Order: sequence, then structure tokens, then C-alpha cells
Amino acid sequence: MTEQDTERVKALFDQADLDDVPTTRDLIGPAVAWGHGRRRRDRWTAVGVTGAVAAVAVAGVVALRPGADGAAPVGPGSSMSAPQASPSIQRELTTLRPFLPAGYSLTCQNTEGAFCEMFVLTGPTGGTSLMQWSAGVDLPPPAGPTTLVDAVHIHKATALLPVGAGARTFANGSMAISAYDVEARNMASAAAHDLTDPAEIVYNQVAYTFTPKGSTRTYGISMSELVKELPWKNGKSEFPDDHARLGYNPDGPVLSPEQFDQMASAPGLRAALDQVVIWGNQR
Amino acid sequence: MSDEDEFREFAASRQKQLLRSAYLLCGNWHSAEDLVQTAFGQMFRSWRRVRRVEYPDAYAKQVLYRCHLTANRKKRFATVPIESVPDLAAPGAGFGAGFDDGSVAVLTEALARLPDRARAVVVLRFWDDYSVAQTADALGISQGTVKSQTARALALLRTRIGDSLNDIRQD
Repeated sequence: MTEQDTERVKALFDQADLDDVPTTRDLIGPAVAWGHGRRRRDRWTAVGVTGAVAAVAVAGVVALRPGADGAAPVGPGSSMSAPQASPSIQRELTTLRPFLPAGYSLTCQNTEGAFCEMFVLTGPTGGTSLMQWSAGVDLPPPAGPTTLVDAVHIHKATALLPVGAGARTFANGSMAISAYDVEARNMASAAAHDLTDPAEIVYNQVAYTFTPKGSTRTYGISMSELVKELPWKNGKSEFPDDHARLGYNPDGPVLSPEQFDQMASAPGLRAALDQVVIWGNQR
Repeated sequence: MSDEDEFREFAASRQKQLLRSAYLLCGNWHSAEDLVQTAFGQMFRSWRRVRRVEYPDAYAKQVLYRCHLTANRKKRFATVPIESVPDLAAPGAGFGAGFDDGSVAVLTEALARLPDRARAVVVLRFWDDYSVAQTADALGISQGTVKSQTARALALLRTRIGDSLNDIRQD
């Protein structure tokens, strides 16, 4: 192949008239919807949540502020369409709310379909955790990831954040607890060069998986929230609604293992969770 | 402006340009649209970082070409052998479909016969006017590989569309 031939191939490309580009469908909308979904999955994948929890724990980073009616109106800087207060979401909330401890409230932060993708649990002191529910048959307790990205660490109980990874035994069953700390640089909304201390632990994620005595079914919840403000170099977040997007509670998960044990032991919760997870799987 | 709005604006302004490259890679507009949509999805997934890169256009091209190579790799694994394959593509589905322009048909037909990576190299080098270094960077391969792939691809083109090339010489 000579230099002359190369020029001829170039000329062949130049001659090709591709000015008339037909567009038969919207390419951007579906791509954005897919991208939103992947962002949520990325968050949990980064933490390394596996197995049964990973199947349902599709955490979201969305710019929506939960409203009083259980649905989430669009907040400032929102990048998602607001979930509608659909009858199915109201049904999920109505089913679950009676089982919450006194002083707690449950709202829907975001949905991709007719059902709630991400709940927000608000504690009596105003702290919030993003939350998802899970239920399954013959699912082993989550063993935890075999490897973690270097910005994520298995959390051991501290005075400030008392829920550590491990197992607990209660009167009505056993509970496997996975708990992780996440450094600021691993947060999707932050790049390391924007932070004063990229390695600062700012985010906490836990999953409680309860197995009733003598049963092969498991019931679980996963919660995640900021436990510190992100250390932005310019002193403030690019996203004014970090607390609404990510949850915020300096004490970690707003629900303790003991509280979830009490909920799981209450008559009806297991059936309610089964129902909500089935509804959720219809999305 | 939210990052979604920003991305939509960026994607809308680059869509046609990416579709043209995708068409040359895929040979028909339906597959080209699929490829561009996949690339947009990947870009939006990491848009918060992408929007800070110095040359977002180059990044978009890189994503497009890599999506093309990845998709074809997956296709190979998903291929189910069958006894015979019809020689002719269905109307409107083959390489060069959708154009009456003879030069486009010749070009896409010739590109269709190149291996995936060689096709990507040729389209980047001669359609997008990328240098050897830029092509290597976009495809994540060495500059030596770009040169050897280009030489092989051009030799194949020479044997397959030599007459058309000679016609160009006569122009």
C-alpha cells in the first residue's frame, strides 16, 4: 500500500456523503434513564455489597427531597424526574408505616417505575437514612464482599457509630449485619481534587438480615447516610441538597439492630415485607 | 442547569456527528443508533466526571469506539452456529443500507469486510482525521498496533476495492 493509496482511501472517505443523518427515535432519553439506573447500582457495587443484599440494594443518589405525602417533589438541582405519588407507592408506604417504631416516619425518595425504589426513614431526632427492604427464601446471610475498593472499609463499632459488622442473636432469630465506611473520594458527587481530605470517612452503609428461628426465609433492610459533611475545598457542596440526596445522620443508621429485631418479630411485618418486595419486583 | 440538562444539551449537539462515525462502524443506521445510545448511556453514567474533561468531544468518540468493540466482542460469544447463512442481507439491514450514494455503498461494503478493530482504526484515522497517537489513545492500544492495523486494513481495502481506488486516482 503506497502513500498514494492512503490518500485515495482518504479521498474515498471524503467523497462519502453522510450529511443526511436520519434519526428514527429518541437516543438521549433512554440513555439517560439507563445511566441513572447504573449510577445507583455503581454506588452499591463500589461498596462491594454482594449476594442477597446486592439483589435488592440498588442505592440511589438522586436530587429529590421527600415530601410530606410520601412522594418526592423535585428539589433544587434535581437531576431526576419526580416520582409520582402513585397508588402503588402509597400502598407500599401504608403497608410498612405501621411497623415503624414510635417517632419514625417513612417516605419515598425516588422511583423508576410505579413502585418506590428508595425509601427515606426519618428518626425522632430528624436524622435520615436512605433505605431499601429485602425478603427472600433460603438466602444465606450476606457474607460480605471478598474485596473492597480502597475507599471503602468494613465498619467496626465505635462510640460514634455503634453498629459494626458481625452477627447478633435475638430471642426470635439471628441477624447478620454488614457495615461499611465510605471515604469522601468514593462519593459519586465528589472528585478527590475538590476535597480537602478525600480519605475522610463521610458515609456509612449497613444491612441487617434477619432470619427467624427455624425458618429459611430472611428479611432485611439496608440503610445508608452521610455521617459527616463532605469536606469540600470551597466550603460548600456543589449540590445544595446533599442531606436529601444521601440521607444524613451523624449517629449512622437511624434504626438499630434491636429496633429491627422488634419490627421483624412483630406479627405481620414479614408478610408485609414479602408483599412489598413482590410489588417492587414488578417495576 | 442540572447535570442531566447539561448532558442532554451536549448529547443533542453531538448526536449527528457520532451517528456518522457509528454508521461507518456498523454499516446501517439502526445499529448506529443503538451504538450511539449505548455510548450516551455510558457517558451519562459518569457525566459528573466527563463534563470536567478537557476535550469532551474526543471523550465521546472514545466511548463510542470502545462501545463498538465491546459490543462486537460480546456478540462473538453470543453467536450460535447454524448450518448455513444466507449470502444476501435483508433489504435495509445490511452495510451501506439507506444510501443511494455509490461512494458510501462502496465504502461501507469495504469496511464491512474488515475485522472490527481494523475498521475502528480506519474510520478513526480517515474519517475522524485522528493521528496515530490519538487513535491509539482512543482505542486503548499501542501506536505500533495502530500502524500495523492500518497497513493491514489498507492492504485488504486495496484487494477488495482496488477498482474504486483506481477510479479515484482517475478523478
